[in-house]
Amino acid sequence: METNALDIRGISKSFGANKVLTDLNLTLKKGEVHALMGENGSGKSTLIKIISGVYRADGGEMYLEGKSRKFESPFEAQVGGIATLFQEIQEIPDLTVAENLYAGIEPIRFGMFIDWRSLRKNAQDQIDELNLHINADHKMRQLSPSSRKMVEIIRAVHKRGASVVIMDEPTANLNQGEIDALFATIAELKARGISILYVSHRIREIFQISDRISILRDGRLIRTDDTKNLTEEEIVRLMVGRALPEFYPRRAPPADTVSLKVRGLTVRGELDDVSFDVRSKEILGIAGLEGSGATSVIKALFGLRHVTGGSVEIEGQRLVISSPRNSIDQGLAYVPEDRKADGLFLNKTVSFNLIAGVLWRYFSWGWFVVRNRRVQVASASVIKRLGVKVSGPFARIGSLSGGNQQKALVGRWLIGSYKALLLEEPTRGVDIGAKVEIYKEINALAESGLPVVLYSSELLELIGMCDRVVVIRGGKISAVLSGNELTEENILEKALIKDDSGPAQAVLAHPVALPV
Amino acid sequence: MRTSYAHGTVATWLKEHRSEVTLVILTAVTFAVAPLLSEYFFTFSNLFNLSRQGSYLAIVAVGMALVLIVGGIDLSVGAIMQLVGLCTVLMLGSGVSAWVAFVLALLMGAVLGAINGALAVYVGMQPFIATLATGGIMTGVVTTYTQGNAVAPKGIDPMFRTIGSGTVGGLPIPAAAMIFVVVLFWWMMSHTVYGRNVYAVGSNKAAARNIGVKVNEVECSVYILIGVLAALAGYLTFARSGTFQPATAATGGTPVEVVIMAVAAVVLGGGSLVGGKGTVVGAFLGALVSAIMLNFLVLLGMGIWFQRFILAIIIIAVVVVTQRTERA
Repeated sequence: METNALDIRGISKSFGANKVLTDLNLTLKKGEVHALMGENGSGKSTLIKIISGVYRADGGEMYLEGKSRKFESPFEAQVGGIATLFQEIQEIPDLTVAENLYAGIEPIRFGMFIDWRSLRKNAQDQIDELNLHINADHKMRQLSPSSRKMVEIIRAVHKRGASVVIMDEPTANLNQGEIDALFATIAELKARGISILYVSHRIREIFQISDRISILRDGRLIRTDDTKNLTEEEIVRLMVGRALPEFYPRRAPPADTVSLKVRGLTVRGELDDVSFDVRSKEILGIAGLEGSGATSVIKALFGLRHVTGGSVEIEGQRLVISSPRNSIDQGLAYVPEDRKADGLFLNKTVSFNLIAGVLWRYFSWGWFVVRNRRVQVASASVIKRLGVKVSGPFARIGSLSGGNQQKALVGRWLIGSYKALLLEEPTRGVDIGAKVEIYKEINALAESGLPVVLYSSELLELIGMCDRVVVIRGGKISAVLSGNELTEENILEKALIKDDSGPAQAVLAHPVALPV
Repeated sequence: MRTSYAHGTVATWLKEHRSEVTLVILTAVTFAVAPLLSEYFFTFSNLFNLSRQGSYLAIVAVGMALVLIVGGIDLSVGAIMQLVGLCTVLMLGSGVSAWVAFVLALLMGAVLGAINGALAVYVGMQPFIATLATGGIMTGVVTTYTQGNAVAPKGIDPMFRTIGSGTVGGLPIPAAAMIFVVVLFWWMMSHTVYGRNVYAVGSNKAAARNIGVKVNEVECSVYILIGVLAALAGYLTFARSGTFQPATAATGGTPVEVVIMAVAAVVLGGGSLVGGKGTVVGAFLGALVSAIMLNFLVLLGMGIWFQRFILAIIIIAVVVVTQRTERA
């Protein structure tokens, strides 16, 4: 029997108590394009990182060309023959193509000098051999995204002799012409017997390019099969299929009045003509895969994107979108998806974090002098209400657990009054107990009359929490789901597969008649 | 936050204020040891001189604390002191009264600070580069105009020298000004919305923006404030003799030395060049310790370069000690 390019047997990986990969097997045949699919959190990226030496598996074995291998670092994996093209560009933008190709392996003359002439010539020869129109003397930053991808491929395959190439969403920033060029290169690699592990959400591409498909769900391999034996619908069905946990608290139904009206919201290159209504007491979910523009919806509303078109109304008032400060003044409350980078003052106390934004409005004399006693009382009551565990008044929020940090991040908006609540990943990286607490607060805020917009990459969270879910695909609304249609299969299908039934209607007709 | 002490223990208070505590102990030790080594240290005239010399540095250090807290730096403070000092002396020479010159000097400091702030925030230059450049321009203007000579106009308002060398309630006026500045800025940073916003911006700019803090305005404002404080320090420095003298160790150091001493004072007081940390009181204590040490070393008859050497060692020692206790 022919040896496989890569054999993964019984790989497991946990982060703390969280089991991400369980006893996973995967085989890459020589010269095949093997697609890896799974929804967010299914373990795809963890698997890639283990293969490429970023993480170490807790258990299991890996065989490269039939030999057992254990990579301790990304560098070892590269030298060992595995090249990974991550989504982020890995090259040095201010060096030339040739310099990037030979970075770390420059040809040397007289023991110490770089042989620039042969470096340049070899690089150009390599590029020409693949019929790519790239000048080896150009700086990386001058190249198009696809050309950069190609250079990365050349470096991985030709310079480091990789026999397995992992591509993570390789077409994310590419246009159709560039995608065709990439696929031509992939065909070339296949012809040389190089195997490709191709990770993508773009289901059409996968049917176009792959020989076999493996589907992951909850850290387990669900099925590996020849591409020709599978259909798009079947893949979606295999990717989902969990039961909705019981812990989503119940909430009063939405009111009939529309509070937040979004029309034709457009952000060049990210969102195209997005319109929806959110009623008072309604939680509207936003779903979409990476690169779909779903994460931009809330950021655009809050003033973190340059909005190039459209209008937003809150309670009949036209919203002027210019900056976060302005959005807050007009009644928007916002929880960012990355709490450490965009949300919290990690070296400050919980109280500081809760109050900092509303200090001038609610806790000052003349908008200037802080009323310390009031700050103490108000933050103590929020801390108590949310059950945030704090070791003392000087405890920095950065020293608390993720769940407690996240509670404080959401709890910030319990002080003061707002007209709409915008949430991104409100429970990311949080244990179940804290999740439930946060859900209760979100529900309480909704029940107080606020319209809530919730973006989440966890489909179950959207299904459990939202009255309706808007699915974004390619910057446009591809579907609006509610009631019985609100299932993981439907969301994924609408997020993945092109729907020819025309643009979906997220704008409510009057009078409102929706299944709840 | 006075009310919160009731909930915390003495230990957590000490840990939170470790930099300040370290400096207070260091000051106390110096005060205890100094008289044994030099009988001159505890004389009235020495302490009087010490408080005056320390005050220029402390005033600038308070401003530097704010700039470092937002994650910036101002390398032009020494140059602002020089340029404002020169302009003050020239204004007085043309018959302007000392008080009018005082107001104009502070205004000038504000404008110079605003230029720094605009370059750093709105033009988007790195503050290090922006203030290095503006400082260079200002120093250039001063040396080109004076050709390295003193400027001593005759018949200036006698009030000018009185401000520089007089006393109020037994304290040298510069020291009284320093106390005023320290108390005002301490209160501002710990008890006002503005102070909280400065800390918020320094701790996490994106987060500050996302809760509605006007990040650019806050960032720009600290450069204006340090400009005003540097102008104040410049005015007081040259008011002592009533003349403008080129920068030397006698006038509080060259512009570069002023910057180094001010940054060192803030760092001694628990500040950090990456922002988000530092206090006004810490900067004040840091300046005080530096001034006392220098004074003490002078009394021991050590040369200027050896003083710098010792001071640098102390800075390293204090920063290492406070970082150790932070991790503990």
